[in-house]
Amino acid sequence: MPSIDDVVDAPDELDDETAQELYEDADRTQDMMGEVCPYPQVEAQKGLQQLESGDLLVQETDHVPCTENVPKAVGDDAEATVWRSGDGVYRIYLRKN
Amino acid sequence: MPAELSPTETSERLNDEDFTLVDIRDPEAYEEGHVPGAENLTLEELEEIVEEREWNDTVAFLCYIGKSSQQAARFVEEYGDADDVYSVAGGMDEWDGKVEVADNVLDAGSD
Repeated sequence: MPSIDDVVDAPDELDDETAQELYEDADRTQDMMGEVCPYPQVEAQKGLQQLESGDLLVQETDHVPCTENVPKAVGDDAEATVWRSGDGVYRIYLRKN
Repeated sequence: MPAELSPTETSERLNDEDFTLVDIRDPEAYEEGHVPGAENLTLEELEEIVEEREWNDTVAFLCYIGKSSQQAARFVEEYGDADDVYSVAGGMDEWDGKVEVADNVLDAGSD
C-alpha cells in the first residue's frame, strides 16, 4: 500500500543507534502523538525559543506530514533530522542554531 | 510542490462536475464545520484508496493551515489518476466562504 511517507520531503534520516543516543540526551522532548498540524509546528517554535543555541529538541509524532512541516516551520532556527521507527512513529530532532 | 488554489478559486469551482474537494482534517473537525460539498478523508483512508479510486479530473485538498494538504496533493499526483491536483492555500484557517455545520450552511465571514 502506498504511504504518505513516500512523498514527504523530510530532512536527513538518523540511524537507530544515533537516534536513541540523541533522544536520551535531548534537552527537551515533546510528545505529539495524536496531534496534527498546526499544533506541533507551534510547539516546536515555542520550545526552541526556550532553549539555548546548540540545545536539542525532539518531537515524537505519528503524523507523517509533521516530519516535513515541523522542520519547515522552524526554518533557520534549527538544524533538523528525523528518525523513522518503521511502525508509524517518527521523531523529529531539532538542534537549535 | 503541488499547485495551490486560493479560497476564492476553490469556491468558484465547488459546483463544477469535474471538481472534487477533499477535506483531510479529522472527522471531529469536519463535523464542526466544513466547506459545503467537501468530502472528508483522513490521510490513513487516503492511503488505502488512492490507487483503486477513480479520481475526478480535478481534485483539491484542504487541511487546517494548508500544509498537510500539500503532501496529500503530492500523494495523489504520484499514485492517483486525477488530471490536476491542488492544495487549498491557507487551509480552513484562511477559508472565508460558506461553512456547513451539520445541515446548516453558514457564511464564515459573517460571524
